[in-house]
Amino acid sequence: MDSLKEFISRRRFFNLLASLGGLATLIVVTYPLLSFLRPPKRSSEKTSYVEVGSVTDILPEKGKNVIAADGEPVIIANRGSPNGFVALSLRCTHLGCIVQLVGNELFCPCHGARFNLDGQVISGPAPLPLPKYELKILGDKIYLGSVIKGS
Amino acid sequence: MARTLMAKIWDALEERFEFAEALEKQFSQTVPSHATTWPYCLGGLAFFAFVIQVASGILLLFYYKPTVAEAYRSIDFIMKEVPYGWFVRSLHSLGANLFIALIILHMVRVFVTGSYKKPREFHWVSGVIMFLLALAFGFTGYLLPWDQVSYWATTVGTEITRSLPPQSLGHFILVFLRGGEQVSGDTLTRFFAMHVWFLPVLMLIFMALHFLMIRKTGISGPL
Repeated sequence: MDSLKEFISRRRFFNLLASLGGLATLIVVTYPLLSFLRPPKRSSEKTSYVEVGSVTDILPEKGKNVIAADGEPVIIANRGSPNGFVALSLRCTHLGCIVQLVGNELFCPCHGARFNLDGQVISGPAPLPLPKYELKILGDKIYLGSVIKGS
Repeated sequence: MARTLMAKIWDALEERFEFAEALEKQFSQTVPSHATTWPYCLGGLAFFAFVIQVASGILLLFYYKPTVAEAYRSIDFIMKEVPYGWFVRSLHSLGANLFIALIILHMVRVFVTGSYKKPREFHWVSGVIMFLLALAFGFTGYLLPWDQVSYWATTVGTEITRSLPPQSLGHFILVFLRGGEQVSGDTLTRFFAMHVWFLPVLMLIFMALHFLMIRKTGISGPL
């Protein structure tokens, strides 16, 4: 017991203990604070592309239905040259039904909205064009990204 | 080395301003024994809650954008993408409730112990003003997320002023608060300015008065 007292006094021991507690608190506060203040990446900048097929799969005037990373049904449509491939949301901008490719138009079975393969409204109750998705073609593979904001 | 530098600066400051004695006097005040109970801590706790509000509010200002297009989106961003953003915003919105609750409890304590009586009437008056300021903080802050709840809460809340007689006065206040006839983006920037500058400055002034007065008169005696 006496040797312990010689090694460290009671006062010094508790001072040390309190400083350790203070240091721990400082770290626990500082780390979240710094991670909060560090400029975070916006999810729109973090677009990741997913392979959804190859260009030879989809014939002109045809399309392939896939699910995008955000869970939305999307059609990869081949408009033939020169426009090439386009990725359009299949969700009707009227009331959210799933549109389908009929001929070279996208047709909504609920209220008869019709869109062309550029997503523009041809007729029917839809107020807005179909949102477009980012699309990349590398070699003969097609890669689907995320929805283009404001499209 | 660092220690001696700090000591040198300290000594130089002391030599010029002689503040050690004043600081000693400020921080060695003894609390009367009848006041060393929890109910007597409520005022200090309310102040502490205000400090939390200021700190978390400043952090939120780093990401919040007070415009119609960006307000909701920026808060969504804070909640979902900024690290610990959910924590800072939750602290701010929950802390607001805590702040008001502590003020009310502090008022109850002061009322029950009769501490508002002469010579402390002005302490009470400044306290009531600060309570109203805290409610104004809550009302203006509620609009800032710019969602349906905040939009309609502000529409209903500001509409009340219209019924103030005479009609022209009520209408004037309504337009003044909304920055127009309707709740719009102008209302948002107005409430934002009040929430982050106008009200905090007023609050700090009244807090300073409140604390200076209680230092001068001392707290009330035991029951």
